Amino acid sequence: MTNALTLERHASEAAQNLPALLANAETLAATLTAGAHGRRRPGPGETFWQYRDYTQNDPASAIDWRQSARVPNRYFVRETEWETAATVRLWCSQAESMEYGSRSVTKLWRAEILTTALALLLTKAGEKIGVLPPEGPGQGGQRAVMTLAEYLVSPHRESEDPLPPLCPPGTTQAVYISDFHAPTEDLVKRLKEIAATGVPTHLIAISDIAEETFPFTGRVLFEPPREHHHARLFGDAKAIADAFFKARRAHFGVVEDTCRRFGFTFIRHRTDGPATPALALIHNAVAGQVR
Amino acid sequence: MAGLSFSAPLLLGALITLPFIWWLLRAMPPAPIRTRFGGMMFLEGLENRKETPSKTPWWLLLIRLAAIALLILGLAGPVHGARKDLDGDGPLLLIVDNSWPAAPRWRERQDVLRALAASPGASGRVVRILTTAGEPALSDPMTLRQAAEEFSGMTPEAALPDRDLLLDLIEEEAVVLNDVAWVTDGVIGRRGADREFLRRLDETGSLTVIRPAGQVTMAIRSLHSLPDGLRVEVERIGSNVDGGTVLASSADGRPLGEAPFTFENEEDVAEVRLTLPLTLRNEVGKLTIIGLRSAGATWLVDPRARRVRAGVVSDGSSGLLEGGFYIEQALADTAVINRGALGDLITEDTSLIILDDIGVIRGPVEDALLVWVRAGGTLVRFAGPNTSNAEEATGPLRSQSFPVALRGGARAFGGALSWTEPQTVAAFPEDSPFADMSLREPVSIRRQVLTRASTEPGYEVWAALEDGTPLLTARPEGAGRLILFHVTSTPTWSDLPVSGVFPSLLGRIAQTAADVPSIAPTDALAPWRLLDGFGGLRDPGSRAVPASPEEMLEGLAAPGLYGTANSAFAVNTYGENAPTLDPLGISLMPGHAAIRGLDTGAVREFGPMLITLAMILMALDAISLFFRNRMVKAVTAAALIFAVAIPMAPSAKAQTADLRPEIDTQSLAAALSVRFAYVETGDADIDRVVRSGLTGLTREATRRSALEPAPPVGVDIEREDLSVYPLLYWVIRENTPPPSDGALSQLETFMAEGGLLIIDTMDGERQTDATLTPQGERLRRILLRMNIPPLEPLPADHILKKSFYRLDDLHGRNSGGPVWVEASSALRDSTDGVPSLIIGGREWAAAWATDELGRPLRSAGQGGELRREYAYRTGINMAMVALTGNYKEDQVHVQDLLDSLGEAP
Repeated sequence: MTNALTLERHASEAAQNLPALLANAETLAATLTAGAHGRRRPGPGETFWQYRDYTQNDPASAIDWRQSARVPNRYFVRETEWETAATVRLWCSQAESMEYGSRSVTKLWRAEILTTALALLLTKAGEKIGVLPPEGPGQGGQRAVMTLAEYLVSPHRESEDPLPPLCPPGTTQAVYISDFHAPTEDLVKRLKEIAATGVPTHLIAISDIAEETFPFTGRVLFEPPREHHHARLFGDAKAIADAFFKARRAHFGVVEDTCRRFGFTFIRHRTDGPATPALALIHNAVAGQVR
Repeated sequence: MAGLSFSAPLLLGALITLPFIWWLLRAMPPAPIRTRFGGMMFLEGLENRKETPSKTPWWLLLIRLAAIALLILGLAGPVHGARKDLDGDGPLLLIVDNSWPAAPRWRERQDVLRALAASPGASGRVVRILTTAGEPALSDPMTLRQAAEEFSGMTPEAALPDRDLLLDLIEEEAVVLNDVAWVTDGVIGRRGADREFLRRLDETGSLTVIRPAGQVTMAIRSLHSLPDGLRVEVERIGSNVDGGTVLASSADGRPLGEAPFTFENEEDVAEVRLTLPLTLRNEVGKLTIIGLRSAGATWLVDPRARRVRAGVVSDGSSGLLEGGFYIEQALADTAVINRGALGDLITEDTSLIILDDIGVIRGPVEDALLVWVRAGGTLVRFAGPNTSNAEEATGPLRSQSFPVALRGGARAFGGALSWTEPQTVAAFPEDSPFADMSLREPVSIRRQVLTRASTEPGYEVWAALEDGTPLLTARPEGAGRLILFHVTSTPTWSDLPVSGVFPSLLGRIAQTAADVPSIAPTDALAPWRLLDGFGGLRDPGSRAVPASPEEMLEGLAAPGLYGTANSAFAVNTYGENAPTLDPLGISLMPGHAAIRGLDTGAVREFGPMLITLAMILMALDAISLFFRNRMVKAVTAAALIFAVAIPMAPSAKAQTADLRPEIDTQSLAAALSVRFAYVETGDADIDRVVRSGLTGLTREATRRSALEPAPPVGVDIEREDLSVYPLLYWVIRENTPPPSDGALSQLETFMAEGGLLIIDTMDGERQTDATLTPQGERLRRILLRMNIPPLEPLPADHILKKSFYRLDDLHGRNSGGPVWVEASSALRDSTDGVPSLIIGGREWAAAWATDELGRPLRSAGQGGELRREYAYRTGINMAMVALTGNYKEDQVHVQDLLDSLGEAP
């Protein structure tokens, strides 16, 4: 952010959207809390978990002498909670095309809700989350969701890239939420690079109903959601509908094939439908990988 | 020649483009729907294969096509009734007789020219207009259409074509007489120049004469006063008319009477007798021929032909005891009565003077009176005590102004100490002018003055008593007459003033006196109203050229009324000195002339109408667009508002301006109370000094006199209304920017309306006789552009030195240089003799200037505070003069009056 004024503007915009985002996301996430998996078990970590009696398999160095001294003839081992150093990284595209919504909901808003809701679910389950492109280490708990939400509602230039970014090391899973309106070759290449890192990856392709049905007729001037000078004028929009469908099908066909090849989850979601099914799918996919 | 034609037929070719425009309108795609779209990526590679065809509704298409077609047709200028009379296509000389004979059918002449201009291909022809009436004028080359428009704005003049000047002009300008069109007035003079003009026309290449068929030209040639009315001579030019009616109307337009006339056989002059009661006759201001609007058919009547003016000198006329009352009652119907001192009445154009018991007339006045009588005046005297005493006082020397020598004293009948009975008046003698009158009842005479002898030469007795004593005597004196009533004009001496015969006697006398000695003008007079070609009276405006007496008498001056509204001298159009006119018959015209009449229907041009219609259709189109597309609503609304509001705004403004000019708030405030004003010079220092100066003067005036002005204000002479201020102080420095002409004329108006302008150059100390100071030079430059009254150095006994304080000079901070004031000869009664201009370099304002606490701002100059005191006195005097004018001038004589009162025992 270049100066204080824009900072203030974006902050107030963020403050304006944040409660709505969180409320929406929490409502959405609440539908899925039942049956959440737990990670509450001993394992390598920093946080105290429990004391248990010494067994023969334990090294002597594992004995907590202070605790053992309190009880005669018993030796306790101090167990810490199992902590994963790994993080689920979430990416919500802020590309220009995301700001389109033929009805009231834009693709971006739906993507942000999905991202935040997913983050809520994951943090409740004890996972650590982080945003993509990487902004600090992964965090857990409510604070992490706040950080994520704040990041989402304030625009970021680096997120406007329609290509999904690469995950930093230490990422256990990556979730990409976008409309994936990026040139097909570039996108496939990037997916290949992501696949090379070996991180389990999930893609949610969000689309608008108008993009799937192309309901335009007559002489139409199409403008991108943000910039007006890249407008395209078509004398008869109906006449180009088929070509449009063809181009779109080809693009997503290739993307889906690529995902299938690399074992990525690929979920389609349309903004006119409810968000819950998509959230359930992605949550299951992510949780499945965790287990 | 009637029928539809186009002034620019080539433009009709543009109609060919209509199908193309139709195709274009069809092919033009509709405005795109703008939409945002998220799937732009997939549109990138797509081609725009197909265009949406226009879906313009058929009726809209029709409207648009119709609008364009109408526009083309309108621009092509369809004309109904255009004429194709003009031959050739070279430069055309259009000779227009804008003289009064052309006035009755002037409109038709204008229509003809318009019709000619509308004829195909003619509107662009190069034309020069040569107007002939009065002073001929040649216009610059223009197109025929412009010429027709120019001609539409012309009015005929109350003059005849001066062919002499016309030929000179043609000579001078080397006008090529090739193609000539002559819109003639239908008459031609008999002089050589007129014939020469016709001969020159004979040599032209082509000549079109536009001449109304059957034109009626009549003119009033002369007017004579008769005892019982007016005799008018009407002349006809051409035999197209047999007679008509002369209408006499008053100066304000009321019809007073009319009389028909007919032209006998071959006679071209008819005589009309308008018999009018004297009262009505005296009101006649104008004679016209009914149905003929032209200057020639209009005769302006001035006081020469009007009523008898009687001057009455008496003690009063307010009641039954005063003789003037009876005289004026008796004369009321037959004469206009002026009252006043005898000396004043003689010099006026009076034809009858009545002296009510005036005994002694001072020598010079009597001489003047006799001169006037000999010139044709009638003097009527009534006897009375003064008359009888006068004879005693002056002795036997008989007064020249009595018809007969009188005895001193009076003869009385039937008094308490007399045995005689009152005498009655005998029947009028045969040779009396009243011989046809009879006395209904006896009129008794109780007292009368007596003649000294009855053997006077030329002495006539017009009425006598039963015993033969003269009662009414008369004696011719030069061209005039002296008449004496031997009784008083009050009923004390006789019953005559209350008898029925008295008004008849005086009325008859007034009628005989009606042959007024001619009141020929002696000085050059400025025109008061001038006749236009239609016979209407117009303010002369810029044509106000004073005319000398000779010009007026010989009818060479522009026709109209000269002098003032009350005593105007009329110059008529077709007087006795005017050249004789002939009808311009075909025989007089050049052989090759093509003669056209005026019998054209009105030219109707459809162009503007068609274009308007096209505009309406386009507006409909726009309105339909407004309803079809919401996007353009705002734009359309704005455009409509502009289109409607812009043409309306100035006119609305103009209307309010006409009705009542706005008064700005400062003037409004200033008008509520008296206050001094100063001209803002733009120099802050000067303005401050002048403002404090006037403030100081305001305070001193309030303290010392009944004048309590409001605080002074500065005015911008360029913009503000000055009429509300009585006194305006203007400092002129060497760097004062010259005011605009508008500001100067504002100042002139201010001075003319009675304002006092004080110009202070603040350079009195430096003024010498030898050179002009820079301030003086600047002032001189400004005054050169202004109409200022004549100035004189402040005279010793000027009102400015006496209006409140007695002063020896108008002292300011200095007393150098002269103070100039408007010359006393130029002062006007209408402004109470307020001098409108004071010019000096005395720094008055600087001497008056004080701050808010009353402390002086500037040193008082040489002489100290006493000088400041005198400066204040000067300022108060100036203010008094500005407000009261010459009111205080009377006070100048107070000392004399007191002195003379003191001397009285």
